[in-house]
This record gives sequence, C-alpha cells and structure tokens, in this order.
Amino acid sequence: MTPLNKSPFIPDALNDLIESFRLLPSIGPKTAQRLAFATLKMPDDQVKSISESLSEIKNRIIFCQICQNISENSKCDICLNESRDRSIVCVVEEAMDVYVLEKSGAYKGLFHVLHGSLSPSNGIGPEEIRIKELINRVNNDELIKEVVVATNLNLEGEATAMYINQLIGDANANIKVTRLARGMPSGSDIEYADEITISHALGSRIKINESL
Amino acid sequence: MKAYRRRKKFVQTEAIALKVYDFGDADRIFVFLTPNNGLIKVVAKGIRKPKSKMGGHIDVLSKINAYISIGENLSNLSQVEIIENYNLIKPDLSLISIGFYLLELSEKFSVENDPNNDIYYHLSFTLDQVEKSVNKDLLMRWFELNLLALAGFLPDLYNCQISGNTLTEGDHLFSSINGGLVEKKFSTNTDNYIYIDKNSIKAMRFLSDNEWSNVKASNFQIKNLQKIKEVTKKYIQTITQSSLNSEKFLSNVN
Repeated sequence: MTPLNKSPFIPDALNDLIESFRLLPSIGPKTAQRLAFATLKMPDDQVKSISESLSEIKNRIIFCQICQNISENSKCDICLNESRDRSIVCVVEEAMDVYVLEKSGAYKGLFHVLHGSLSPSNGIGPEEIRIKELINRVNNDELIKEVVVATNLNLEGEATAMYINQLIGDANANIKVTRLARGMPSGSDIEYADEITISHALGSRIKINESL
Repeated sequence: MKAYRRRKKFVQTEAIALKVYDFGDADRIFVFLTPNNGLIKVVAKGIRKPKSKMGGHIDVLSKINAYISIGENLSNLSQVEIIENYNLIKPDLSLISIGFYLLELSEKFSVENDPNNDIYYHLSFTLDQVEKSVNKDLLMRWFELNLLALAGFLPDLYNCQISGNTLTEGDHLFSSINGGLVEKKFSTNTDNYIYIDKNSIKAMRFLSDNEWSNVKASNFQIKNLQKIKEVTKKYIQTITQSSLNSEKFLSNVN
C-alpha cells in the first residue's frame, strides 16, 4: 500500500484514522477519507461502540476446538446445536464460507474450517492447514458418516479435496467423502458458458426429478 | 501543450499458468510462463466471482491463449481461452503433485522478458508426457537435467571439476558447488560431495544428451534413478539457494 500524502489541511489525528481505514480490504484512499469524515460526524456513543468492538475483536474471538470455526467460546454455536445433523461434516476453506453456506439454508449438518487450501507452489502444505484436526475428528466421532468437501473449485481446492479423500479413505473406509457439484450457475445461458464448466455440468448431470 | 496519454501495449501470447494468489477482493494474480516474454505477472480482475467470464478458462496447470494489457507496474489479463486443460492430470492427486513440481522448477529457472524461452516448450512437452508416460520418475529426472541445460546450469559430467582432466570410466564424486563430477582422489571433505557410481553417471549422461523418445524406450535401474534424484536435488538446491516448496508435497502424496 502506498502511503497517503498527508494533507496540511487535515489534522494528524484524522490522517492517522484515514491510514488505519486503508489497512482494510477494498478500502482505497478516497473511501478511507469518506469513512474518516463520517466517523467525525457520528455521535460520541457510536464512535465509542465502534472503537470498543475493534479493540475487543482479537481478544474475544477464538477457534472452536471441534470445527476450528471462529467462535467466542471453546465450542461454537453450530457444534453445540443439538438439532444439527451430526452425521455429516462440510469442510470449507475459510470461516466466511460457513456463513455463505448457512445463508443458503440448504445445509443442516456440521462444519470443519481448514483455514486455507493446499498450495504447494506457495509453500502451503498439509501441516499449514487444519487437515490433521479433521482426521482426528473423523477418527474419534463415530456419528460421522459423510464428509462433504466444499473447498474452492480451482486446482488448489481440488488437490485439497483429493488429499482429504485419500486420508479419510486410509483412516476409515466406511465414511463417504463427497464433493460439491460443479456446473452451470443459476440464471445463466449455455451460450456463454466455458468449456470446463460445460464438461463438469455434463459429468454431474442428474435426473430431472432429483433436482431441487 | 497538447495533452498526451501513453497508449497501452497489448500482447497476445500462449502461456502456462505456473502460480496464482488472491489479490484484493475478487482478483487474482497469475504468474505465466510464455514463449516470447518469459515470466509475466498479470492481474485477473474479478476472477473469483461466479459471474466472471474468465474464471472457467484459467487455472494453475493450464495452457492458455492470453490477451494481456501490459501496465507499468502490473499487467492486466483482458481475455483468455484454453488451449490445453490437462484433463488427465487434474483428477489424479499424484499427477497434480508432479505438475506442481514441474511448474515450480520452471519458475525458478525462468526470468522475466526472455524473448527465447525454450523452457516454455520444455515444460509444455513434459506436461503432455505426464499424461502419457508410465515411468514418472524417469520423466522428472529427464525434465530436471534438460531444464538445467536450457538454463545454462547443466553439470559437467565428463571432466573433473578440480583437475580439469577427462574422467575415466568408474565411480566418482558429485560436487554441487563445483557444478559437476570430481575424481575421488581429490576429495578432502566428503561431506560436500555425493558418491556416484559409474552406472548412475552413464544414466545421467544419457538423460541429458537424449530426446525423450530415446529415453523412454531405454531401461533404467531404479537405484540409478534414485541416485540421480539425490544428485539433482542437491544441485538444484545449491543453484536456487532454497528448497522447493512442492517437493515435500510430492513426497507426501507419492
């Protein structure tokens, strides 16, 4: 990030706040300025509340000891929820992916967050992500019957899925390992689809009655 | 004075995607190996979004036709189409790990703005062979030695690196620091040398001097290939002054 030229017309305290906002993703210099000036106009209690939330976030958020998702307690709400289907675990790359899947409302099982995917060329191997925790969990929890690997649909995500499949196969051959289907996005025209998507869509075709 | 704006330069090129990392909110940076421009780093804007028109056309370990708008700092990928997706490699974890290894090695020995990049054709040919060949170890050793030759680092396998004498047939020592073989009588500190038997030396010479079509038709003993692997690994580590990230994954998976 290139440092912002400090304006002599803006007080140092405001310049510092602009620089702090710029550390966040998708915040450029203009947006940072707008946010900083908007903060100035806010009532004191709102500013205090934002500042308290920011300072507490690192202290209060920990990783769930079961699923490795972010949580305020040693076990997250999803893992503690008795109404969830405990026979199925969905493996995702990032904590953000849990919330995307939850928002869909289509999944009622448990999660496991890897915090990354295998990327050998960038030096990220199995030890750098939480695969070991997943295998321990699968070995120790007899209720688990299926693991859905929902890693990203690129080569690194695929390699991670295949690696997990290999390890779970070695650890417990009775557990079914599945992968998210890949194919045409909803609302799209076939005319504009690329070759890889078309070939996967054909490979993952299903009977019409079985579709949602 | 009339306002002047520099016109953007566009390049259309074949490329193999070696590496990728996330950039910003929805972008990715790809490292391409190209035949006429060497290594190029390009930003693929919005490629992580499901609606991206490029997303399905490009990934690591794909040969593509890329349309790149060259920028002052970073270049932008404006269009892309697949030439070869290596569909037989990608469903197989063992082959993927070999692919990652070949890509990382090619990146280590390539430079930016190289107009005659034979390493591109060597990598492209070898990736095609990964799908077809039975003996992957042999293919990797052949790739490594010929990559070293193309990059100008082929070890001298015919002359002693200390005395300069032509080597007689027999067992010798390999010195990574000296870049080739050394007669046994010159070794003072054997920790810096790897002992290499005469059959492994012959196999190494054959691999570096021959096309793949000749190599694949020949018989090699596993112990000779293992010795060549040990020697080239140490030699590549000495040249690049680092170990390869993908090497650990390769041994983990295979």
